[in-house]
Amino acid sequence: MKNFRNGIVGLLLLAMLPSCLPESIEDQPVVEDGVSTLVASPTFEWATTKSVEVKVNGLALPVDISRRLTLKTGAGDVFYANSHAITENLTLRFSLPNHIDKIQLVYGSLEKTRDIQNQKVVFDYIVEVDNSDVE
Amino acid sequence: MKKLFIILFASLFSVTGSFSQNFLSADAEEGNRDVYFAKCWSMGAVSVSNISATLVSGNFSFRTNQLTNESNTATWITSPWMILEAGTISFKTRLDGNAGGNRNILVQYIPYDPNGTSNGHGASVQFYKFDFPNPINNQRTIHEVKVEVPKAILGKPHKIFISFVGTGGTARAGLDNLVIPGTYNADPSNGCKPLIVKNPDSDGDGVIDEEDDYPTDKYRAYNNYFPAKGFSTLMFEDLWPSLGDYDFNDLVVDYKINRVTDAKGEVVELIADLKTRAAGAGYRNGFGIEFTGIDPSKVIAVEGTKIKGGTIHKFDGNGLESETKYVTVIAYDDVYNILPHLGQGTTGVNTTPGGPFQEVNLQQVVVRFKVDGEAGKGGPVYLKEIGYENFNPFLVANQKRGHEIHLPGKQPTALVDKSLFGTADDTSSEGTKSMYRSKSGNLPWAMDVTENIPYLKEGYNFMKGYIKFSDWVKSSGSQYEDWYLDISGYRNSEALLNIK
Repeated sequence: MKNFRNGIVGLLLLAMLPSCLPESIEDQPVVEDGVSTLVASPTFEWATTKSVEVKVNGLALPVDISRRLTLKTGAGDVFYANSHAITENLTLRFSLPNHIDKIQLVYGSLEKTRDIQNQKVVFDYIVEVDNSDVE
Repeated sequence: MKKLFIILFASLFSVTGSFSQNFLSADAEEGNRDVYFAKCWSMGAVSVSNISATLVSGNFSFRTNQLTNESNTATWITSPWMILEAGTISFKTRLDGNAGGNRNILVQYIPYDPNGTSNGHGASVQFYKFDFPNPINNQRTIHEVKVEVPKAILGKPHKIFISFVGTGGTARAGLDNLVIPGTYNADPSNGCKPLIVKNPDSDGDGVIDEEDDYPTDKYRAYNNYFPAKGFSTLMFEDLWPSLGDYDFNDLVVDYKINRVTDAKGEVVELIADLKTRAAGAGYRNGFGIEFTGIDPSKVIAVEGTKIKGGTIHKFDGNGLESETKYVTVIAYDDVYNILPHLGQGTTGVNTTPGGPFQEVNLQQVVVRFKVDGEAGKGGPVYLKEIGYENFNPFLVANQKRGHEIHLPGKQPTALVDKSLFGTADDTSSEGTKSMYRSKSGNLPWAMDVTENIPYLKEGYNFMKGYIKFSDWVKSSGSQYEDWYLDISGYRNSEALLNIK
């Protein structure tokens, strides 16, 4: 009888053994619910980018100067490069990652960085000069 | 009304002939000396001012500090580099009426010396001196100063250098209506060096080597990427018009697009780098990209697509899909062309935790718009015409051409099966923003994430892997707009795979 009881206990332990092992995800995928509760606005864009308008105000000069104009993210990743005349105004629109908050302009030796504000950035070629020499 | 920085073309005719002359002028009316610096003028201890005591004409004049130094580098204005022409330099000047010993203006030139100072200045040479009449006290008379340009400096780049000097007292000077005969020859985008300083342009396309992404290729000049950094990740559910398990791993494709342009800003080619990372589906899905609004006749050739024999697609001679309205490229018609199924009991490819995993390879699809400088028969495509805004990727589900699955709000191609719209879970109404959204919850069947991100293991829905995704959706994007970033608390790595 004692042997029979030990046998039953042994079989039960054997049967419980798999539940002590790590769960095999391949065989039993854990499907997480949540889709049924997810509701988006009909106008939600589902976009991880934002549309940013970049304006470059030209510099009035009596000569034609045209060279590479480069726009970069604040981290230095180039997203636009093209020849551009310094005297001409330029308006461009880009889709940039939501988390980008600065844009850098490079035009020859001129470099400027501006914050994106209300999805707009305005550049010019005027560099603020130190006025400490002026009384 | 005064004008700034204008070139005046004064033509004088006589019985003996005619000539025209160029002038560069500065009258301070910009009202801000930063603008003059931007245009390569320079000044020290001189401001642009509307203070009446030194005002000569108009609303602003150049105004000096108190002139108590006899050094020519204490108080000064220099012109930009110019190619000087024969004629008269002129300006108007005055004092402010305060006391002083003497007050003088030195008119000098600076030759360009490439081996000189960092800004190319050679040694300055004085060629005229104007003396304000004594006594300086209470003197406010406006004087017009005129001086001939020395013949020795004609035709070569020089600057005109005007210094204000004096001794004792507090008197300041004002200067206005400066006119210098000659042409502007400075480059504000090259440290204000003379325009004659040219950098090499090996391919002669007008873009100097250091600014040319293809310095020895006259047909190419610039790379223009989207996304700006690395790859973006496209993720699809493939059961449209029915909702699936919402793991967004039925097809996972990383992409990086480069629009190569020439010096004219025309797109030479579009290079799509694709990495198909996972296909967690039982279907043999295809993948295509439409560039909405671009006429197929503008494309010369498509290269790098992977199409199997007996394909469900039809193609034109240039490699674009036939019978479409806009440029439509089928990158592959069957994901297993790119990412072969490994078998071994898995349903999809690269979505089963623990593997086996198929190697992910780069597929480069090139759409050529210009060859050897010649555009396609439909004409050139400009950079502004082709970008993220008309990038319209889609999945073709289960070898059924009409079963196109696009990003939410995007329009289908001309080859979609329109009878599927509005059926099952779909609420699409053709031509509206409702396209490819679900009836319950307005959920999409595809997502385009601007970063290269891990995808979901089979059996996990998207919210399980991206913890802030739900908050982003429910807030219509106002919260956690950066939900896709690898920030502490944003991801559950147990639910994610990152085969790439």
